[in-house]
Amino acid sequence: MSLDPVDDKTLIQAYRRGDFRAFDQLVQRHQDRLFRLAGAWLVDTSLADDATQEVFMRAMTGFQKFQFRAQPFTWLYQTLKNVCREMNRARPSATYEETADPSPGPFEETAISSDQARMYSLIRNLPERQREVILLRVFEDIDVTTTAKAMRCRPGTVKALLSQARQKLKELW
Amino acid sequence: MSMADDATSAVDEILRESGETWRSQHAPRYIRRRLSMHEPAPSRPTRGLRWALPVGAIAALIMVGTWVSGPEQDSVSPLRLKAVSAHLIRAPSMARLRTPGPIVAPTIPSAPSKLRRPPTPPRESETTSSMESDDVV
Repeated sequence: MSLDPVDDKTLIQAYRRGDFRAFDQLVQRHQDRLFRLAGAWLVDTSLADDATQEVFMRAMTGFQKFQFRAQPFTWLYQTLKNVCREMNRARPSATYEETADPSPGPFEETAISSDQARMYSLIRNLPERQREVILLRVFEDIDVTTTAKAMRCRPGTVKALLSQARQKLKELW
Repeated sequence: MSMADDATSAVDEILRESGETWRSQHAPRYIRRRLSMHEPAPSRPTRGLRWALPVGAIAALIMVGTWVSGPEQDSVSPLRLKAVSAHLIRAPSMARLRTPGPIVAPTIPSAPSKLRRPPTPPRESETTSSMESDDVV
């Protein structure tokens, strides 16, 4: 699935002209993806709700002066990472970089098989960049170019990280 | 097919299935409802209303200032005091010009001052002499 920046751009321009329904469409388009990623980083569904809402609250003002030098999703994703870091900093027991939390995350609880639950657990214990690339490329099915922009790296780095992550998962399986 | 290939295909298959399950999770719908509470006002004030607001605010400030300083007749501004005293100084000289008569030094009324000393009592010698004269009569 690839993101359509042209449509996002049109919606943002409409929102700037005062059409809040356009902003509503942006929310509907991105909120599920942002909510899932927030859940993976915060390991808490209610905090993921709050983080997703906070991202769109910031987007209300951020999109008013958006220069379209980046894709809107990239901007939302970076904002989400900042929000999750801020929320994890406020919790002394967990950090964004934490990788060895033994408790099940919100998506491990919704896994439909024991194999899936085990896979989620292994992914959560991967190094941060490898976990990020699995979430974006494999789970969210975002194309390499957009993933690279979201992770602020080159497409080649995305491919290399994905290969390393797959290899690590095979070793651990 | 080797054992390694089996493991690879198994992991890839579970990854694919896990991705599908992952994408079936949705954000709660109330996020949109919460955001709608912060929805900006759709209409902006017209040009006339835009400048009417500051003008109204200035008028309100003037009214409040008048109310705080009290009614005008209760207080005399320093400017008005100056004008009155200037008139009083000028009045005798004007009268002198119109009606010939003895030259009288203009009296300058001065406002009572807290620093003014009380009248000094007469000296003892003066008092006794005047009494003596009264008694003589």
